[in-house]
Amino acid sequence: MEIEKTPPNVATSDTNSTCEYMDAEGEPETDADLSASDLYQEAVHGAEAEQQGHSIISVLRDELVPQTRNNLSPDSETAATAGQSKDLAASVESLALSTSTSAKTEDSGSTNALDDDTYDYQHDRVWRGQKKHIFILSEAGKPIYSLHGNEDKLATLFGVIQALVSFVQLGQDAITSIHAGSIKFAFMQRNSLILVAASRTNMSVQQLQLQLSDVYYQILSTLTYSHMSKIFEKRKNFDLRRLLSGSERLIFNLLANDSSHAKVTNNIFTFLTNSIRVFPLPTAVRSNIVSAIQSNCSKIKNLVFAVLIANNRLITLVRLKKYSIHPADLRIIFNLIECSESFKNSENWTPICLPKFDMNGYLHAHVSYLADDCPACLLLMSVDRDAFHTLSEAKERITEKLRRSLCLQAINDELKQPHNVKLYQQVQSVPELRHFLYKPKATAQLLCPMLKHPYKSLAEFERLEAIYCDLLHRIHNSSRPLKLIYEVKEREVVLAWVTATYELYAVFESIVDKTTVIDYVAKLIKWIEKEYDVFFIRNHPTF
Amino acid sequence: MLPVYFGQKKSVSERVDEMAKVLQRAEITLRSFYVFNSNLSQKEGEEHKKILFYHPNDIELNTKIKDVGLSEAIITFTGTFTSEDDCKALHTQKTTQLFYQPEPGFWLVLVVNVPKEVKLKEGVEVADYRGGEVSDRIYQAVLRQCYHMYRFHHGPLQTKLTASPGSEEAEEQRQQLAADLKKFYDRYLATLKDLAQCDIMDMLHSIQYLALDKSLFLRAHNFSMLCDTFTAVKECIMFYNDQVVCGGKLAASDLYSLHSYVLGTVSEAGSVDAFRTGAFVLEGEKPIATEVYLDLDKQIRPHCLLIYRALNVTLCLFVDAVPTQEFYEELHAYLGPQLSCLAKDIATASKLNASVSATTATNPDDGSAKYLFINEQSLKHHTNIHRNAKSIPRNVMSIIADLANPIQEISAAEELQVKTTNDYWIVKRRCNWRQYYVILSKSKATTLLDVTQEAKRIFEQELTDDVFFDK
Repeated sequence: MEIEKTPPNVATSDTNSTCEYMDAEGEPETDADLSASDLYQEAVHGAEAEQQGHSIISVLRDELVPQTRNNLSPDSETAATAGQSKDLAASVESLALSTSTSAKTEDSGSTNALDDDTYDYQHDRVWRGQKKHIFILSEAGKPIYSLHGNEDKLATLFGVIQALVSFVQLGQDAITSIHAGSIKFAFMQRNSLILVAASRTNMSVQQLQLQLSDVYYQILSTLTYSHMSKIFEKRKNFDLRRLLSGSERLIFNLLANDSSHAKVTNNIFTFLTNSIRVFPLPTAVRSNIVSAIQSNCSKIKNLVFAVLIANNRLITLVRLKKYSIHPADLRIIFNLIECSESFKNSENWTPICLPKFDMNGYLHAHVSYLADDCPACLLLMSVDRDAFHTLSEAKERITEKLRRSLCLQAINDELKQPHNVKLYQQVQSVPELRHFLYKPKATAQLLCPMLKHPYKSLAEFERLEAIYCDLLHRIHNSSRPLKLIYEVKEREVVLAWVTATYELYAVFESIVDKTTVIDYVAKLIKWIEKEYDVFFIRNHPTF
Repeated sequence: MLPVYFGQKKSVSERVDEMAKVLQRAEITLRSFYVFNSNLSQKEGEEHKKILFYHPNDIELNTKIKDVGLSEAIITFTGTFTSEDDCKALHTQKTTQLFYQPEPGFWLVLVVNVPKEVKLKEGVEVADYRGGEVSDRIYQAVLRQCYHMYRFHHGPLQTKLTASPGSEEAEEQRQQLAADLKKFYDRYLATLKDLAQCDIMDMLHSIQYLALDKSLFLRAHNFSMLCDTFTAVKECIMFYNDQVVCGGKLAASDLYSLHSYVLGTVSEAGSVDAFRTGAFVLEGEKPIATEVYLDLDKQIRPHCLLIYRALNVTLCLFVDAVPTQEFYEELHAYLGPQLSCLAKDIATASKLNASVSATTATNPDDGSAKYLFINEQSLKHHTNIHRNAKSIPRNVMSIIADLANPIQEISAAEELQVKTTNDYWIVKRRCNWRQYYVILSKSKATTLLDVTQEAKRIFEQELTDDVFFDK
């Protein structure tokens, strides 16, 4: 399988790249928090342009390797080499495991039934009527991915898309979107790929493009930018699916997070607000967890990030000084964990590219759940591809320490609750408040309460999703942004409010009056500020 | 690099952009406008035949064919997912292209260059295309009006192509239609309003109505009884200056077309003095008797339009055929005295009104509250926004266009308030087929509740107008 061979190759080639110290993403600012918040708001082009042909990972490795040589005795180095073959075997095995679950079973709908070559999608009403479509193809028009339907059978459509894009390109221009009465299409071109999203929902073109960029990063996270560029340089009409086989499930899971796949979850809101969610924990517990990781990891060379997550939420991120993880990269990590049941069974050693961090190289991640009785997943990410054993031992010690300090217990307690108790009580105390999204400006983290009546039904949830899409679009409209929206709708009263420190989007019962809404909002903000450290992580600690 | 990613928040580079000096800004401009029907070219090599009109004319035929080809491809592409006549717009980095299919097979496409800013960024000049500033809905309406104005003068496109396809006659008809379109649009596009100035009023095709007190209004209204006295007169519309007094039964789009046509014609017809005692507006020696197409009683049929003027009042009469000299005289004898008398009274009344409002209204740029009321059913509007005075920043006008409901949309009563980043408040109410907007800036009202109060006060003060409550 090609995919298993690529990581080492690419990693080797990385060492050849230039050894500059700084990079757009990893600017070593002394004020780590400020730089972190700026990072999250970074536009892609600039960063991407600067990153091409340059790798933080190689910088890190170059930086660290001499130290390694100085600090480690030759003996330990040979020991590591001796263990290498065994580790690589383990790595291959774990990848094989994760790819084996990859069949596109989720999306059988209209696909499997139509196996004959004369599949006429234009007259397939189910296919045509899908709420959302995603098409990915190469610039040469080779199909790479379609959310619905077998992409081979859609070759004509892919051809049309390619023709449209290249025709407009000939006039030194680029298609950004097409609008029809009931459906809109967003286009995006990146590094020899054409990505197209079609949607019948309220999602704006910018929001669709954000989703496309998440998918694009998902692909990079499997292949890396430099590897993909090289492939297309060599062969323009290369069939990229050969290299992506196994990661379709990741792409699918990333895209299937909303009402278009009949999912009623808060997940969609993290991508709409370009943020992640935090696992609520008492501050003492969280700092115990952080110190458990720090004390066991600070001496491990080449370790860049330690990420602990549970239930799709971040418990903690401990990082190497100067570096941080962009929320888009964190979403890729969440997505990987959510999609890979196999991680639950054993320790894993897997290469992962975090495109916002370094789109040209792989980090090597030790992925494992803390314990059989605690389903929180720990990722230890290193630039050293031989660090499996070191990290595996560190993980054992971390788990042990967390168990002793009752942190495992605390995580389990929270996991057992259907909702966070404090949040639940707060929401219960304002029954007219149906739902809200709160995002501090300093961090790309989102707080939202569990979905309750009436939004538990799909139809109603769709409306909620549409309301938020609309509010977010209007507030962040690049040519005419707004500070505040207060709207009395037929079924609800909605408020969007952007201040210097936070963004709040709230949905109320339709019967409340303006004074009451203002009171409730003041109350809510006050409560969030009081409980801030339970629901948000102000600074990501360093090793 | 393509503009493919829009962060939800202002990015570092965007903030740098804002600091970067804007060296030059080009506003939205018309790039091209074309009319085509794919059915008109059956054979390969005859692609040019489907193009009925293309502006600007002085570019290579090959480019025209390519542009039309792209439009066809976009229409087909959307047709894969939805019905083919559903295609509305194509956005590229540098252009916005709007599509409209008023009659089966006939497509009108309006292509505009989006505003462009040239900025100095680290010593390098960088072009920044501001496609987001272009409101599709406004220019979609401009495009629709392009068609309606043509139809008003020439009738539906399809009626000109009656011969069976492929025949020689069909080709002649095609060429005739192309010639008609060229004649009409060359003139129409030359007088087209500056696209950068188009706003919500263009979008809704609404017209300002003249507010009159009840007795004057009834007197004016009685003129529509003319149709009973002179059975040849099918419909009768009255303007005072550029405001509508009686709109009759005309469809909103026809009234809008009539309004812009008559204003143009009358202003060419000479000063008010020539119409002191009332007279038909002449074209050369003879009274104007133009053939126009109206959508009356759900049927688009030609009518003959006569324009009669007394002082500042303009009366538009629609008759079945070009009338005889006697008919003109008879009408003139009837209309002259009555209409000039009415015109004088309206003038007096509106002067009185003007002096009253002069005490409250102030200069357009003072930041006082602005309002705009729109009656969706009659498309009347009432406003104190001076449209060309730039009294309201562009972003605020665009936000109102975003907020405005499409006329046919049925939805429940709504209330909405937004605050822009440059601290303008917009309060919108919609109920009972009316949309009301109040725009506050530099006002003492700074909180949600204050703004609500202030807007309420303005609604109550300004909505006493009969025009808005009648009918």
